[in-house]
Amino acid sequence: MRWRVVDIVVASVLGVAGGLVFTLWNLVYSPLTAPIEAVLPGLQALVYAVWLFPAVLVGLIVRKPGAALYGELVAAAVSALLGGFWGWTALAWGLVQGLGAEIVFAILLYRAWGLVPAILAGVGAGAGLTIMDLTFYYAAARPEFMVVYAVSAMLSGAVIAGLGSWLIVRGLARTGALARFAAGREVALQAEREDASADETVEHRSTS
Amino acid sequence: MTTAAASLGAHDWGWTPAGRSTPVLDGVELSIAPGERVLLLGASGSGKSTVLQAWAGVLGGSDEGDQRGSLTVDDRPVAESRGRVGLLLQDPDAQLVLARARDDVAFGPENLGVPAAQIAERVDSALRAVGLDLPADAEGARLSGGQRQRLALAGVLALEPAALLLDEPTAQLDPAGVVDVARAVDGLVRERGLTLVVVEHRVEVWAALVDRVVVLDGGRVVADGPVDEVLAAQGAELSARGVWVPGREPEHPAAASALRGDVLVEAAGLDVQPAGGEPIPLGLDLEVRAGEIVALTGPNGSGKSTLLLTLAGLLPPAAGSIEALAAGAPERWSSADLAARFGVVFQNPEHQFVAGTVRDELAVGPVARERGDGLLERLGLRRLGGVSPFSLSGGEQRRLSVGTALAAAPPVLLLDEPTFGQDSRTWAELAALLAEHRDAGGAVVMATHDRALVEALGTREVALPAPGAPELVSARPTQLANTPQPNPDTPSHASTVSVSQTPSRSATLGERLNPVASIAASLVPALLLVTTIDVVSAAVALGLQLLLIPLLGIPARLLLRRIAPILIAAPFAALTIVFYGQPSGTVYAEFWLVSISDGSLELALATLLRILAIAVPAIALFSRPDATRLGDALGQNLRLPSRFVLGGVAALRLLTVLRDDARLLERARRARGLGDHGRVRRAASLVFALLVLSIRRGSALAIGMEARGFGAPGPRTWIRPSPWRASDTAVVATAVLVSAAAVTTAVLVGTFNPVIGVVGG
Repeated sequence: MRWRVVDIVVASVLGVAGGLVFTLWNLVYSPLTAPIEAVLPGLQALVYAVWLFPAVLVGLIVRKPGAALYGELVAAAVSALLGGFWGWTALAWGLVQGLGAEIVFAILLYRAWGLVPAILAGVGAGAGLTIMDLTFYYAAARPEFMVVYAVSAMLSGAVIAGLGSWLIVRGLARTGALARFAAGREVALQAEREDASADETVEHRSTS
Repeated sequence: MTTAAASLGAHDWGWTPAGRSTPVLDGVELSIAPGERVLLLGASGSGKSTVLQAWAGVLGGSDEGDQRGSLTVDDRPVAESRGRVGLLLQDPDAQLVLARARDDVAFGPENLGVPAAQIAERVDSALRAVGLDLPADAEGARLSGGQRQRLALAGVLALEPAALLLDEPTAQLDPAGVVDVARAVDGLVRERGLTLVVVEHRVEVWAALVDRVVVLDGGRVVADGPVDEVLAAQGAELSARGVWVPGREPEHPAAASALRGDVLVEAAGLDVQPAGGEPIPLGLDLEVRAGEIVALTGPNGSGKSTLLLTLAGLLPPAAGSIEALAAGAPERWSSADLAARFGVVFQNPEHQFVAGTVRDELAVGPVARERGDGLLERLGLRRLGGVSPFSLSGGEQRRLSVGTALAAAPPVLLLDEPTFGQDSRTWAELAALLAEHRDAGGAVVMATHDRALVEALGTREVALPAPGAPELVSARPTQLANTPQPNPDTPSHASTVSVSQTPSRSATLGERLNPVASIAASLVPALLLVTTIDVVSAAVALGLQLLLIPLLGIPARLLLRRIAPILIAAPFAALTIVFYGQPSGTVYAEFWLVSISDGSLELALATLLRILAIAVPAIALFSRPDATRLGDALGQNLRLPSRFVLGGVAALRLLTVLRDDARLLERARRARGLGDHGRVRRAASLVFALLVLSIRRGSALAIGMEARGFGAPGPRTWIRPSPWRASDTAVVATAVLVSAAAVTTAVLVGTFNPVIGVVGG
């Protein structure tokens, strides 16, 4: 369970890439949508899980205690350093959102890394986002709004951060980039097995 | 030097990486005497790098693979010789950890816990040994490729190793950089008498420096002896496997016929400008005709790559015009047209891959399926049609990238440093593909340093002058004019994260603040303020802050500019509360969940003020510390685990590299024909490629860092102090007191409105 050097460095670099994606997303997203968002009854949170993917992604790749939290924290710090609107307060979001995903992986004893754990971790991160946004921005909103917001954020977390990260990890494994990680080796083994069974089928056909 | 040279040994040694069923190396027998200088040759994938990494002790533990046999340094197991062996890698970006050059050289000895006073000496001596004379605050990212690689070498030397292992140390450098690094290694090895093992494709660079050649093949040593003997016996074989053997140049196609076709691309009075850089006044007039190959040459910084991207319609010209294929300026073409007319090949093939499999990669854009399959065959990739393009070897990736450019049968091919880091076999394949395109009546423009390629293809050379050089340096008369200015053609690696060093005494209070104090003063008071949502506490806090913030000494205009986004965002959040806030008092409008009332209006005001009361000081306190200073503070003042802090700092240095990657990825998508529509698909492929590049760069950086003692057990030395001053305590205390006063006032006047109660219902 001890972090290797490659775990630390790749988690850090993925966090940095996540922070970069945040800033790109920020450019495309907020100026266009801010006025529309302002009048939505909580549904605006449906796309917010873009801010959550580093937590789940780094957790799934590195598979070490603290990976989800660390990845999200680094991404938050980078978005602050790149001139995010909120200065260091971004760290608070990173911390709570990262913890949301981390707690899910911890409950699963850091042993389950499939699609369902990924989705649950995404929901956990979405819960973290809900807590932060509802205390900071929308503390005065009525309960109905808060419920819609929470459900939207967690659904978003499940789909974008959870399912999305799981798909990304599968794709990354196929590129061979994850050769030093169990996450990459598993997919490679699976592909080998599929190849083998495909070969068997062919042989079977040719013999019968 | 006091350190005697080390001996290196491998006895019946083998390595099988986890997840592979066959060993990469098996039964390796090798013994290298102290002070011996060895060139290690072999085809790609023969395990050369693996041996070096194993001797350097960075191959990874038992969960990453199985070792058998024994591997020794000074006849002892590798694990007991930390610091005895120094490893230099191919890519300087994988090895430079800290932004400032001197800090970076000190990184290794810091990790090994060398006393601070000794580290300063080691840094000086290492920089002298590689011939780098840099100002104290020089940034590594601003140096040329050759200088950066010498800086990385200094970082290795600062460990005072007894053996030096170099893994293709010049593969990613331009010719001047290669000479630079080879000369530094030469002087150093002679002076210090170190044991030297070099892995390299290009024999001629190192042949004079080494006294022994070892050839690996099929996981074993197949030849071992003096340079001349081994090259005489194995030269043909090595050459066929991609090694550049002197006197055995790879075969290449005939030089151009005297064909002079129509003008396909025409530039007039062209000046170029790299993204985010200063214009480069080339004043270039250029005609590219069908059936010819034009080589853009010139030293680093002359603007070759920028010119190429500009001709390709991927960067706007700074001045002048380009007209191509009787269809106007390429810059204004749609992405699909661009892909059909120009085939663009980027320096790093991984920047231009957009599909999940090799076969699909050749079917992107306006391409007939049959043509794609034909190309697969021709590129020798048919067997690999179903795998991810990213999983191919370097040579296969290069062939595929040229294939994707050829897929839509464009009349013009534009290539940026197509032979960078290629072995001789890939080189020959590439030359053949280009010649074939030329002979079929196409035109080729390429930016290159590669003399052999320029000559082999009978190109017309357009030599760009060195930045700042007064005269044109041109092999043949071309229509170049004007005096150029110094300017980088590679994207600037200047770190935006790092602005100032340890702030000088004249710095403002805000700039002198310890980063940990800045974080604490931003976050802790916010925790108090969010306990209540009421106008009084928020107004009191904001009012006091506006009185105190000028003490931080931030220019008002700068502060206003930084706060502007909040001034826009906060009213929108307040607007949401106008509609969806807890209703009370008179109701003015109501439908479905929306209810505008006295209560929601007041809460909206409270929300607005509270967001400002939390965000404004956080922004005012945020002085964009450089990554090194932030890391020093987190490690020393907050005592966070140093491995994680420094991992984060090292990764931050890659931020500029990754941002350049993102720019190139975006351009490559336009060149591939994906730029017009499918924003989601384009963004997804961009993010995915960025993540692949991140992991690749991260994995390489991990090896570079571990080779410099990162992660070593035992205490670490921090050579840069991170002082915590009385002013730091004062700022944090003041910030907390302001919030406490605001909340207390709200309690006293009876407006305290607990958030937990609101959230709970």
